[in-house]
Amino acid sequence: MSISMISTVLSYVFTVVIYLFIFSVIKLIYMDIKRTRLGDAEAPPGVYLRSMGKKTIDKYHLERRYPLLVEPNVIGRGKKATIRIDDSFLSLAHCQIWYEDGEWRLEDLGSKNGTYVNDILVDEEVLLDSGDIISVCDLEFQFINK
Amino acid sequence: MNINKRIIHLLIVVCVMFLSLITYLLYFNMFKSEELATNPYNMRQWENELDIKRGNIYDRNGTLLAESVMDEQSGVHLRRYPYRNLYSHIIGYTSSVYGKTQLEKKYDRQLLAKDGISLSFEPIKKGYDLRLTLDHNLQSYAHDQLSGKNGAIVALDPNTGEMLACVSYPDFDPTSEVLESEWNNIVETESSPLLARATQGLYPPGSTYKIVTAAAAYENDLENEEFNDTGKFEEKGITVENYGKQAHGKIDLPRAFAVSSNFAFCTLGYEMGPDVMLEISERFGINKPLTDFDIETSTSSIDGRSLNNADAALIAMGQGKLLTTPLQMAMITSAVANDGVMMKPYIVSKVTSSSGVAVETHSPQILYRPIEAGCANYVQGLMEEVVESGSGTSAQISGIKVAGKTGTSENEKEKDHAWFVGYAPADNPQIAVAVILENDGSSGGTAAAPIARNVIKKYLSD
Amino acid sequence: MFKKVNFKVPAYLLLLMNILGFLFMYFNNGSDRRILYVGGGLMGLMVVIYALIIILHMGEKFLILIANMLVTIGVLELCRIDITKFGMTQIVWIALGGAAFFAAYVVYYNIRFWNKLWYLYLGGGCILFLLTLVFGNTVGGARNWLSIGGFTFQPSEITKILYIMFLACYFSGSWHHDLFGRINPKYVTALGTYLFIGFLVLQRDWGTVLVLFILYVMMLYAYEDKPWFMLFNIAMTAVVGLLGYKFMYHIQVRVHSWLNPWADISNTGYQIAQSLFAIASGGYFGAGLGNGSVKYIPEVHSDFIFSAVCEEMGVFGGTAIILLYLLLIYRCFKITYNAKNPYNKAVGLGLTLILAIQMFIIIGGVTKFIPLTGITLPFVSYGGTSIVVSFAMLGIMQAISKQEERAEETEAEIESEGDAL
Repeated sequence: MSISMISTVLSYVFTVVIYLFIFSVIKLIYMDIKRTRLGDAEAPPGVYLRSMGKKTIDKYHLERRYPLLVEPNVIGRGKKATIRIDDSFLSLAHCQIWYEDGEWRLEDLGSKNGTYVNDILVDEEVLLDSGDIISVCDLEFQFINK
Repeated sequence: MNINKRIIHLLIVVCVMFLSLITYLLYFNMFKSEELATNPYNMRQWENELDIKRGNIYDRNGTLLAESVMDEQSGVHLRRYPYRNLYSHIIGYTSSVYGKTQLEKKYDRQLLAKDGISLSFEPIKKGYDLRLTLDHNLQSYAHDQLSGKNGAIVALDPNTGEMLACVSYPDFDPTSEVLESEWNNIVETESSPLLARATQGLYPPGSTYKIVTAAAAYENDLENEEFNDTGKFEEKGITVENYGKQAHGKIDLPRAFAVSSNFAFCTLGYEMGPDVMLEISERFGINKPLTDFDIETSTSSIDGRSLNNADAALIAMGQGKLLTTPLQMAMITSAVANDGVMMKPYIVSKVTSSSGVAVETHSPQILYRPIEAGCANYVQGLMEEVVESGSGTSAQISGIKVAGKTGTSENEKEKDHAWFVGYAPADNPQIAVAVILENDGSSGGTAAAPIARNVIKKYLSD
Repeated sequence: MFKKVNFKVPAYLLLLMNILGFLFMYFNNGSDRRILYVGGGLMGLMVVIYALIIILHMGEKFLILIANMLVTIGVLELCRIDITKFGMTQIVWIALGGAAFFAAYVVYYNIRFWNKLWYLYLGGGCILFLLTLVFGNTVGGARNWLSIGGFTFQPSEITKILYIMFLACYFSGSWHHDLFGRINPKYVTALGTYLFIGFLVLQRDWGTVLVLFILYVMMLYAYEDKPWFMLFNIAMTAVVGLLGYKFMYHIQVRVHSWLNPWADISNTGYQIAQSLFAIASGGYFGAGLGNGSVKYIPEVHSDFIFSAVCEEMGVFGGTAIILLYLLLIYRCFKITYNAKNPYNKAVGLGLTLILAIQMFIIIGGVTKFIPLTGITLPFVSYGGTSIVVSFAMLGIMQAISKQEERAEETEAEIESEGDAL
């Protein structure tokens, strides 16, 4: 093949790569917008989990805040988890938080290592108050409800 | 929040600005880029020619008319025209300074094989060749027949529209080195050698246009009219005299055509009026640009605004507000010869790749059907009579029946133009010819008719 | 649903583009080693900058990613135009640009009284202009280059940032005391604007004149409650512009060569005609990197680099550049929109708009969409000052996004602690 043909083909490849880049950025921005939208529309404003402990945040690349939806928010390692964290001590679906009858509730989903609220092991459904500390394995979150 | 709202407005403005840029860029690429890519000032197209050898041009029998050769010293391809001036108005020139003209311009993409897709992985090294309908023997013979007189000769095959010969004089040497050094001389010469007279020169056709008037008379059932020719037609402020101030006395239409009586045809034109004359002229292609012809042409025209009967009388004898190209007159003659069917003229019959594969082939196409066959047959009879016993006897060829019409057209300042249009053989036309000698001073019958005869004879004997 | 936004895809695509691009250039140019050095250097710089942003938790990651893509396209094209003259030196400029990015970030982030220094910006701008007028060199008809000890730069690029900071002082509302007890700061900003523009006219830097004026009008639109002041400014400029057209040969030439570049193609219309020829020859996909004839384009490394990209990467390549800018500017708008601190908001808006306007003026100019006025294409063109200043602007933008993020977090933490107690 002649050089000019290769370079013509490659120049198409460059253009395609640039467009792939553009689309991946657009996708990220879109996800970003969707997330803020979701936060605005479905999650009551000012209800979120705040990640605690700078070291763990860095170790597991945690978001500083996880807004909570009315429907169940599953914390876990699995693909279906709403709040997905890559910690090997975490179960696939570890625990869930949801809103029902005017109260925010938490229950353990049969995890191996258990869920603690204010250092008390959760064995059945509990009600959450703003400021409660939720511990799963070595992760700590503060439940905020303004 | 108010400010955030306005920030959104500004975001919208910026988005519109950017999207309009994108739209403009796409629009530009779709509609403007073609024109700019071939602009003579765009140096890029000359780069192509360093890599690609421009294709050759051949006549209908394979005679080489243009080729590119590699100049060993400078390492560039040079365009060579073996017959120099002979095809300057057909093939044109290709110069990095003055651009490209005629076939070199119209067929630039093909000559450089720009749309070609290389079947092997070797890049295309040579452009496509053009095969013309022209007959080199006839072309050079016709050129000699003009013998240095300003004028033009056009020869067509009336059955197909193929252009057999097309000569304009004066001409010039299209070789780019000569052209570039002689350019100022060429441009400043008063007889304008750059003008392709055969296809772009506009002249009053004179009495040759009586062919069209006769067809109109036939259609309007005036073919049996008789005239009392006094030699001088006077009506509404115009005075027209017969050629040589001759009075022909009492004559019928065929005789008036044969002796080319201006009196009779002005009377016909005056009677039929401007609408009839304009309408039949347009059927013959007057006022209609010849689109996508292989080279550039001027449009033969009648300035149709506020024509009166006196104007119609002048048009009927090929003067006044009527101007035609020699090519147009050859096409009109062909249409009569071909029983009323005007074929579309063409010069390039085939485009072939360097390996001999035909990339494009052009076949005969009907352009217009100006008149019915019956009308055409009637005019054919008139034209045969002209050569047999009328003003065009000097076009006779022994053993071949020729039909034609002479013309001597006046122009305001200088001497008359001598015209002859004709075709032969009359019962099975093979060639139609139009000859004009610019400001020759003598009549069409004495000056132009013998040239046409020789060209016809040459073609039919070869 | 709250999966972590994954920045790996665009970052890897950026690297892929670099690897493909420079390897291809390397093989296409007879294995010229210098291309590999340039490519390696560029990738190294980009990785370092990106890594620093992540390690130092500098927030916003889109800005630098998109800017790096633009820089990559620019460097590839510059290597192809002239590797020693532009390709290799551009890497040095990008390194300086990266340094300027972090310097601007750190300085802007840590100082909180920017909004009180309007006299400094105005004075600094004027001094730079005066220095240019007295000691400046003329390049391409514009007297806007200054050289200090063998190091040449364009002060007008720096004055752009000073001008934005100056405008922001007033528009953010932090400067509301009348000057000398009687002149409203609104008129001081207007006077300052026309002072800057006047200096630029003296330098015949028409491109920057246009950029600053449009910026001023847009800022007025965003912040002035009553439209009359903005309309008055536009009307005044229209009058001055018409007078200028009537009496100033330079402006006439520019307008004429925009309306009909073919009339004087070998002289005044030459630049724009060559640019259009290049774009027209590219078609949709271009001739391929290195296959075009960009040598015919004048000023191809700076003002006309967009035409070269169009010729070699096609209209789709050109469109990609415009889209990349659109994304970059969209991100800047978003940061501005979310900013709570009024001074940050005004500076952010100014920086966003100036990037958008520059890009529109130069791309519009070289494609004959609007009259041509020479300015550089930020991040793509070769041009020391342009690259450094563009990166510094991005650094300020980054600092604004981080400051606002930080402010939001502290606010939330204070609140939550209050709740918990």
